Amino acid sequence: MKLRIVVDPDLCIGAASCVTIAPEVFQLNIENKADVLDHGEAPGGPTYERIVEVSEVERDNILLGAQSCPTLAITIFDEAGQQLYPNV
Amino acid sequence: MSKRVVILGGGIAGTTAAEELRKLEPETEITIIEQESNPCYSRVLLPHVLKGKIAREKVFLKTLAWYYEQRIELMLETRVEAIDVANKFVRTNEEREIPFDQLLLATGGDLNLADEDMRGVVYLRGIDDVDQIDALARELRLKTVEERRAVVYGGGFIAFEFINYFAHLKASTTVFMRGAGFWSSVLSPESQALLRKTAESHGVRVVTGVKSISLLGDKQLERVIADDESFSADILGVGIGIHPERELFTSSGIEVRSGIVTNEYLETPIADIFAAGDGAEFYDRFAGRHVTYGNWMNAQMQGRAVAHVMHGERKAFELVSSYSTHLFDLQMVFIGDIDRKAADGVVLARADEKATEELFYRKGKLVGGILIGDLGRRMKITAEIRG
Repeated sequence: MKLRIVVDPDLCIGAASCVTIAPEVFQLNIENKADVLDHGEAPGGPTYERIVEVSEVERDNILLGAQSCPTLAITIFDEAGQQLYPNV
Repeated sequence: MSKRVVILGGGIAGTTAAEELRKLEPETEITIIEQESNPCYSRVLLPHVLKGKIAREKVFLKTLAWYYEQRIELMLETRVEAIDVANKFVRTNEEREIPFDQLLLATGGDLNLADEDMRGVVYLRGIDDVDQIDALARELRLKTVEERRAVVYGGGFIAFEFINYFAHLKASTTVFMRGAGFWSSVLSPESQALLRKTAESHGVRVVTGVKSISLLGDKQLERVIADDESFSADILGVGIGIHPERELFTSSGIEVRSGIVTNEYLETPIADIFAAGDGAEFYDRFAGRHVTYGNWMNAQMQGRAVAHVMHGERKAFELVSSYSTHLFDLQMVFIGDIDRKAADGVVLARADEKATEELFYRKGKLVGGILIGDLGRRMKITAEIRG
């Protein structure tokens, strides 16, 4: 399945809980904000938004990472564009 | 009869523990007892709310419906006044006795207060504080920029938030701190100097070594007197730390030092009593000693970890946590155990115009790090502490 993972750099404060939980998807950049990666890689360069093909286990972990953000800076959408987190 | 778990404290540690435990134990009765009147929210978001970056209602991480769906009983505005560890129940301020098979203490810390209080004096702990600050800010905005006067009391994390926020309000700001500089119990003189330079370059006046402050005003704050000097002030932001709740626990035989003492499994020495979050002093394997951390990452991860231990898994809590903040555009991060007194040595690895780096060693091992101005080495330092 595919997920669209979006970080709002204006809300991100570099708390790094997402990086601790899901380091293959979130890494802090030089600005102390979380970039979105695809399995540890950054094809096309650093970005705050990416569509990533993930397994069910990976999806659950990415959701945990998003849920861990104290500033709710991470939004996750499924393939159909449905927002999985934060709950709407 | 199903197992009964009582959790004191509905913050991020207690709520995460409840959520994780529900996944592990569908039948367990879970009760959260919380003194405040709101479901779990993000304290980290409060500065964002003040600056208008995010709507007030967005800070809530859980809705009341969520607790209902999860079958987690949430008792709001309720204080536990006694814990009977032998007969396994807690007594609330309403004289209700709630029995437990396991008890999790996740009450965080209590605010240190200034000696005096009046309208205009604010803290930054909870959502109620934000509402209070907002009301004062509205009045402040009616004044011309030249007339807006703010004072900050304290030199640590919360002081940074107040300074950033008062700058956002375009107020002239004076900071009083008891120590010799910003967060002087933790930072090297070089780091303190960098922070001071940053504050002063933004027009903030910094007054160090203040012994006491007192307030002047009729109903509403008008002046703050620091030692002998008097400053006009519309608003005073106080950030002078927190202390652990002591009496409730020690009177029940639960040991409290800088927090409730636990082992690396977040268990207190008393069977079936656990602690997690800002209020726990746990054995940190990476630091090689008991520590208390007051950061979101630690509280949340401990909440999750303690649920597994309460479920019977034998897995020690292991995390190198960090706290990230900023003073104006100067970023900083505090990683792991950064207690100067507990360290064998602190190496000032970098100190220049733009940045400082401090590394904390104990028994020849890196246990903590502070980066100010350049966070490029954050992940490397974290990995080295983890070993």
